[in-house]
Amino acid sequence: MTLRVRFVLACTLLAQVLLKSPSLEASVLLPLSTAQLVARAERIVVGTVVGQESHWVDGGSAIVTDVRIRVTRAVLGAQEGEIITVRRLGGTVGEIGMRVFGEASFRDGEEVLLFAERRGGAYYSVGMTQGTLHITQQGGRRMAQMALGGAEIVGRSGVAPVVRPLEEVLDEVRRALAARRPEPAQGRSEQTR
Amino acid sequence: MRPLQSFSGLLALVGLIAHGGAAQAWVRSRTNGCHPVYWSQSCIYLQPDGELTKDLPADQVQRIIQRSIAQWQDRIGGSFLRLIYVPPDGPREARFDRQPTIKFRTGRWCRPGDCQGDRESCYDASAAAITTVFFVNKPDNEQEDGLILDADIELNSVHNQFYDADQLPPRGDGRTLTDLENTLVHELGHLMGLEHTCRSAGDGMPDCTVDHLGQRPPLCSTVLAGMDRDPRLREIAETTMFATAQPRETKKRTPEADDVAAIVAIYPAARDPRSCERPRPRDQCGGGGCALAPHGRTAAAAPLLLLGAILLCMRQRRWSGRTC
Ligand SMILES: [Zn+2]
Repeated sequence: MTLRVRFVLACTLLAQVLLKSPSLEASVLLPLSTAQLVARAERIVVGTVVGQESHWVDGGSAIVTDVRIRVTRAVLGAQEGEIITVRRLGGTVGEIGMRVFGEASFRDGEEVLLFAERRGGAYYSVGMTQGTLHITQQGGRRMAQMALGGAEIVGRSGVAPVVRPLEEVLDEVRRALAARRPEPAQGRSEQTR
Repeated sequence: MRPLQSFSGLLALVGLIAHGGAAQAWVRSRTNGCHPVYWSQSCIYLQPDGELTKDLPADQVQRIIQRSIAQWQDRIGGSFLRLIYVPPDGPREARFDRQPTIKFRTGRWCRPGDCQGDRESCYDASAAAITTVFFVNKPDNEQEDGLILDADIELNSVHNQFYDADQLPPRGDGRTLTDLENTLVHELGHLMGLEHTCRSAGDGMPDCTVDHLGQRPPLCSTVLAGMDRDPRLREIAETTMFATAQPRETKKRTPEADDVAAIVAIYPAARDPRSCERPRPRDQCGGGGCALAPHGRTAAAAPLLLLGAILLCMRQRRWSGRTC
């Protein structure tokens, strides 16, 4: 066995062992109001997380996770029933993971209200965790919970408990959309259920 | 030996008593296997990229970085961990290379892609800084799980106008005015393995994450809502590792007793591994093979670190071959 072959084998073995370490990331964020989330968003949907897949990018310097979301209510930039993909920084590939404090997180099967913007070749949650509201049932009502994540939210207005009825949030989104763009693009308007 | 699982708890208890039952709430970052992350050597060499933010004179930026390091170093005398500043000497990138780096992003708030088709990954404009800590994740291996291999801090100088709050604020240019030292001191806490002292829904913090007393960290919203009437909650909100900040805030510049207790408990002087080697420059990995040298490590982690070094060398060989 040549030295080169041995080197490659060693590296392969090591890759199997070590390409599985997680990492953490921390963030300091500025708060975004609903209007600001809307202003930046190219897609606004209510949907259910149907799958997630992590992989390396940037020549092996970072891990991202592509989250697939089935749209149940299209507010902007999507169609009901469509499966859209939103990317989050971090994830796990083998024995290497990468976590971003302040980044949005998703669980399979959960329902979210998502504000997404395009950066590079992918869509991301606007304002990291701020653009992903987790939807829960409380007393028979669907509530949207703003996940502040591990982010440093600058400003007291951005840190109050934010659990509001989903419909109330969507009303605010519609108003902000109207202010941003009086005539919503065809095929992008909300499909009320 | 793995640093301080039970011993840290003992120290924490002593610290708690010493502080008269104060609301200490420090929290360690944990792996998915629930083991806390930790550095296994006595020191961390930190070096900025050669290109600093242009918001401040380069020498002032360097002074602020050193001051931020000193804010921790001057308070953690009971700890063996040392943050060692290395002046910039050329281009450095924030990536998994075992060389802790402070990187100002000035042109684009993005991690660059490579020449093999990967595009750059751009960060959120509202994020002022991002700290990355790479560590071994072997949930079934208590000795190795959580061993930190690398850590980098990236600062968003594209959307933030970093300044020194000790001086008059500069003339605004549309970017957010952010005190550099306040940001750095907090991020250094993450770099050493600390988690926020409060949690939020969907923040990715493993469900098993607890504070040093074994309690689930309080919700950030709970702390903020109750801090004005509950001194214990106020104390948590005042920690450098608290998860929220105010505009132009400076209070995170000075680690509080809780933050200091965390580092002293995790890395107590009595358990000093007495190993502190500076990471090798990446160009030592060229040629016909990897010129490896084990870095500071514990005996238990040595084989893994050696393997890690080989892997990194392999990657660096690939990077060094870039032509784009
Ligand atoms: Zn943080």
